[in-house]
Amino acid sequence: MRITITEVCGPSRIYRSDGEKLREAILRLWSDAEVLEIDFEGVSVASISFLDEAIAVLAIDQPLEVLKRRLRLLNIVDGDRRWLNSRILARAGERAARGADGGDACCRNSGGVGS
Amino acid sequence: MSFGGQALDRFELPYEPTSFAPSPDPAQSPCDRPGVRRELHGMRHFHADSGDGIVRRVGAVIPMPTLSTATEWRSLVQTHNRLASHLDAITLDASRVIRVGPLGAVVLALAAARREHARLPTASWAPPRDEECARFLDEIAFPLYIRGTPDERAAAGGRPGTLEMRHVQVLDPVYLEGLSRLLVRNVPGTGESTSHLVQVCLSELVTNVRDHAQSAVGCFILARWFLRGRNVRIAIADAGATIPGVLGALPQYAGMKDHELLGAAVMTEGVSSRPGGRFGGLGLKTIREICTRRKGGILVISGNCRLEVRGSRAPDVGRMPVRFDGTAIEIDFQPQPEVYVGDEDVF
Repeated sequence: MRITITEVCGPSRIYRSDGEKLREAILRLWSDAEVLEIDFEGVSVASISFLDEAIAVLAIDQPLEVLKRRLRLLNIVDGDRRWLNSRILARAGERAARGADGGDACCRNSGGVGS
Repeated sequence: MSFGGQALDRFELPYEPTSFAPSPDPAQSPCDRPGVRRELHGMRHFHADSGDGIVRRVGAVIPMPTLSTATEWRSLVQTHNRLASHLDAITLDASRVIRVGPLGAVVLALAAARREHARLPTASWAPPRDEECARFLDEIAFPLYIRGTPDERAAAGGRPGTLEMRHVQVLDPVYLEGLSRLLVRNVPGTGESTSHLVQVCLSELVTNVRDHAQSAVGCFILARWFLRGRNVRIAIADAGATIPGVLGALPQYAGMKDHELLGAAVMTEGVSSRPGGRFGGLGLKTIREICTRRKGGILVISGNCRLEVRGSRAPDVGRMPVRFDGTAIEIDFQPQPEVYVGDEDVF
């Protein structure tokens, strides 16, 4: 399965509200059955807020192994990839600090499947 | 019509005085209007009466700080407040200015935009005698923001190859990407990663304005590469709600002083005005880290508070003797080649 940034967010990919749209789209297709490809279409996002809200916050409720297994990022520029990884690790750190028990609050509201 | 107050020829103006705008209420002396006497305090001003002893017009010549840069933030805020005042006729006198930084340009352009939004007459403009300074201000269309009309600015905009100051009311991501590429184009030793870093800073600065401080006046952005110092400076000024004002209204920050709120917004992740415990509070902290790790810093002026952080030094944060009705930020950093170790990368 594949979704593109433009398909979900249109031309606006800077604000947290844009990132929220992308995250909701991801969670609607969230599944262990098939890898979800997110195509950044080679366009520079350069917004920490967007990247954090769209993908990084998933790491609060999901182990990194699950993220790696279920998501694949295509055509993401190097700068965005580095910032995203940095935010994912920061959010994973929050998960570890909270001692999460594997619950999926991020998925619950969107009716996604648990980990 | 006779002129009272100081005689104009003692002002040594490098231009002919322009005509004054009419007072809204001819029977009321402008000097008696609420706030005008206070606004005139400390300024060279002149007034004109129509022969019946009632002062009809009040004008003032406001000198622009000789160094209109971030280091003179106090003078810039005072000048902004005077330029944005409700006086009928104002002249911004830049004849003695020798340097203008991005913060100076956006703060004073914002004042002119406030006048326009309040339907006050546009100010007159006395350009710098310093040629380099005058050239820089022309390049960023600063005089047009001070004294020009919207039509004149629209006609002058979009000049190829120039880096002009931009009055932003609706965020355009294409503009941000184009600006960051333009900024680093022809600068040796910079490339995609520098352009991306600049774009990140611009995005976060403008996002803050859009999310927390929107006003009908909009905001001004200026980004500039300084070859001598090999650093990039970006300034943004908006006329919206202040950072302490927005955060202070939230129950979770009750009891905190304004300067403590400003400090928390810049130094602490997660301090945000977003409702319902939603994620936020990354922008200013991220920008601060980008700058301080690259031989640079950040200066934030918001409401009655100011914060400055440079390098690894502790932040300098406190109350200001003058209030800025909005938020102004200037950042600077030297893009440096980074050794990226991505051993822990998830993607």
